[in-house]
Amino acid sequence: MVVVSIEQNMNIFIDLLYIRSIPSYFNSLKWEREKSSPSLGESLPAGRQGFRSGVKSCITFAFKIYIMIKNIDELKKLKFFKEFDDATTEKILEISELKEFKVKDVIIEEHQELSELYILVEGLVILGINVPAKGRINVDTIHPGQIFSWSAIFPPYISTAYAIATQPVKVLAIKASELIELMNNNHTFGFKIMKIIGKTLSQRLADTRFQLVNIITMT
Amino acid sequence: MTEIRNIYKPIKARLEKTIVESPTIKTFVLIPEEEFSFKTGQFIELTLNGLGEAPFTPSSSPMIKDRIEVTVMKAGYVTEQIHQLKGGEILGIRGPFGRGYPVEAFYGKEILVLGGGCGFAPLRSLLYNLMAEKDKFKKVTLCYGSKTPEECIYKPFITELRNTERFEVLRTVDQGDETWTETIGVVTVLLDQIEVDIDQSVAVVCGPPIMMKFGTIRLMEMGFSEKDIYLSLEKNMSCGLGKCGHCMMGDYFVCKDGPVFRFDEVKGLPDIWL
Repeated sequence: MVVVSIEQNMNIFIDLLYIRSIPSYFNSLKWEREKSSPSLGESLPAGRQGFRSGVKSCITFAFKIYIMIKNIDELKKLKFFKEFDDATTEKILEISELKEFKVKDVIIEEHQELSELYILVEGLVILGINVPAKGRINVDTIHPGQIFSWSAIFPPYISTAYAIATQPVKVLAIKASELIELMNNNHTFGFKIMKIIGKTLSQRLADTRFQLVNIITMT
Repeated sequence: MTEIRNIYKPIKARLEKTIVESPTIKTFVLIPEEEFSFKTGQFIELTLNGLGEAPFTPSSSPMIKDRIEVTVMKAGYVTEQIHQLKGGEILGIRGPFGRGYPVEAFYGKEILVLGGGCGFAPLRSLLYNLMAEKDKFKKVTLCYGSKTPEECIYKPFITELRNTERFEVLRTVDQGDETWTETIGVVTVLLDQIEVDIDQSVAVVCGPPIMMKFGTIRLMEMGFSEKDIYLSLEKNMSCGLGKCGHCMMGDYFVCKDGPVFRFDEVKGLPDIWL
């Protein structure tokens, strides 16, 4: 899968509008043959360079859109989107980006300012806490379909734990500020999002209490 | 005339070998002097001459009658003495006692097995039973948790389960290490990962009391009926015969009416999780 952002690709598309026309491109090619070969990218006429880069971007853009459309159906199957109709799901996907991480990549550092809510699409992510004199202690695992970085929705928007990929990971990163705006504009939608986050936190609290009681009774 | 076994008198069993499962848990392979049958989930009283006896649930297949495996966690005086055994010693076995798992009631269903720590012992016996009759079940999922990767027991058996059709295994530890690539967290975290047809499933839970409590609560939240959750409550058993009263739980004697109970049978009783 390819990392893609709708906003990035729109920028590329707009850039294409400024590329010179095709005849101008061929004129510049003719000029090229009469000169010694310029080093790549330096002495090429702006028109040709821009057109070449534009064509390349066009093909890449089309390919990325193709990949994205292909993946939207897969993303829609995530448990997170079960509560939403197709139109709402696509609205969320419009403000989202698919990101990839390698094993041992730190996706979020503890106490980091957060701007995205993550849904794990593939792989495994470990959550943990940095403990003085002990180092990193892992306390939970995120599985595909689950959310993390929920602190991006609640002030002060600071992460409560680190998140590290323990397998090659793909996450759907939803821009938190835009999600909050959607929630404010549509309270029914907002309520559904809060229900999902609430359920997640409730289960994590129950699991944490289980861990705590386990430790207390073992000592 | 059929000979009735004297329930007070142990039969002799030779310790054939010891398998170290973890720093605190060992499995002892015993060869009884006569054929020994038990139902999965029942327990035996294991006697060490001159020291005493303690109840344990066999962890071996109930299909095998000429040997019996008992997994013991070092937790007190008797278990510490058992852990010192090297091989060749003669022990005593009384039993089997109690009510085991109603495997026939699981036919045609999906079975979710939730185990923690040394609670895996009776569950391994159940899983052997299920493997032997695997065509009679839709699917078997084992969710197992332990404190650390080192404390995960029955590693070769886990591999065997993973290679068995229609059996799925998920494991978690409280604290992982560099080599651990599976889940980290309490065992209930694994329940978020599985897909079960609740209406066609039963759940079997065995482990430390805390784990059984939280596991049962989570199963109820998932939609399991109280009648479909089976618990192995091995509490305070002593004589194994319903005489000493040590294991009384409400109206039940755990050693006679259990140790396997359906949750709806015991949910109203005080202190079932103690």
